[in-house]
Amino acid sequence: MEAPDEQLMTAYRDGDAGAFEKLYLRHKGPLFRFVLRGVYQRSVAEELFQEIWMRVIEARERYAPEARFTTWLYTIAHNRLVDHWRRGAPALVALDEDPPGNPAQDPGRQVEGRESAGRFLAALEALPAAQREAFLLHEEGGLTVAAIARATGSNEEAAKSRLRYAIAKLKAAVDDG
Amino acid sequence: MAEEDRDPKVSQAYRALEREEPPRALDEAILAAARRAVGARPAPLVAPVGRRRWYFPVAAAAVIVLSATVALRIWYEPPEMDGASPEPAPPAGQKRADEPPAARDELRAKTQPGGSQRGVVSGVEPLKDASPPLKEPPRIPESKVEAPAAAPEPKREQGAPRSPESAVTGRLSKESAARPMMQQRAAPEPAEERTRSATVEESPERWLERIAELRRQGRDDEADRQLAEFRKRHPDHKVPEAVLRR
Repeated sequence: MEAPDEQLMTAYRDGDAGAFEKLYLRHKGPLFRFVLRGVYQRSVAEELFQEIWMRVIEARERYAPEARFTTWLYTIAHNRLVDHWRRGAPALVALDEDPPGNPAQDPGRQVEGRESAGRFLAALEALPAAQREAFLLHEEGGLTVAAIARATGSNEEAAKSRLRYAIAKLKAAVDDG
Repeated sequence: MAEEDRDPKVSQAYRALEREEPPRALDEAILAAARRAVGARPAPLVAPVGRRRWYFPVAAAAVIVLSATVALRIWYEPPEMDGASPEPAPPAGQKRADEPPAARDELRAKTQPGGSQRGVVSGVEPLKDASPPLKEPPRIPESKVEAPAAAPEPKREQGAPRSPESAVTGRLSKESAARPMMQQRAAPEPAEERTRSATVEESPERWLERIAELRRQGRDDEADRQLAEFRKRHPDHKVPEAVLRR
């Protein structure tokens, strides 16, 4: 049986580098995709991804296993994304609004969307950032509505609403195929 | 998230997307940073670092090993004896009176795979070397000698330091030297034979004195028998007149 995340993080806090490696291997893929699909650019995603893990490393002494590790990890990721968006990522500042130049409306994107995966991806990218983030936290991070609310600094109702809207739009894109 | 909010088709469609992963170089950089962070913990204020932290344990171990070596060396050191050879082992089951108690047995058991078989193992010096000179095994009175009466004797002749008495009897013939072995094999001896075998151990002079004493006591028959035996053993030895005369 694999050790829980919280146990591994506590072990790393106490000096066990091997515990961090297990934790990293377990979460690197979902977290990377979460970041990548939040910023669109791979180079930026890699930079943010590294910053997030550095924050984890730096904050290990303050880690208290009261909350789930994934909630803590994606809270850090959320904050890094918000910082990134505030630094000037144009389309994603208004988190609950549709981004300008919605790729779902873009003819080029529509051509790509002829294939189901491309269409789904286009629909995902077309989501408002908050809705997309809620969906990605749910799919990649496995977070519950309550955990999504904590990670994004919102309340459960807002988190639940965002997630429902995201799923409804994505479902429409799947059904259209 | 409530179960009613789940949509398997959406989840399945999302899972069908490419599963991007971070590049390996990024993995290594992050893991290295994690290891460095743990390794860079502040060290205790008084704990020695680097090579110095081994100084005390190594020095302590060296002192212990050296002390033990010197102690064992002293314990096993053979006494300075010219031409002395290791004393043969006492008969099995016979504990020497002057042997130190259990600790010594224990030490011997550790150093010799054969347990109490002293001198059997090469490379390990016999324990007696460092101990005070051992007493002769108590001599068994002739009257109490049983069948293997001569058993302790051959061991003493195999290289034990010679007593003054045995130095005198050094001229014993090969026959007399081999005799104890024959006696070992022999069945129970009659009393006369036992007496005779005991005289073998005497010096010729003492033997002759004893015969002369028998003459003085008027026990000529026994004196004659002893004389005959004496001549058989020491044909070249001059027999004094007092011994010959009845």
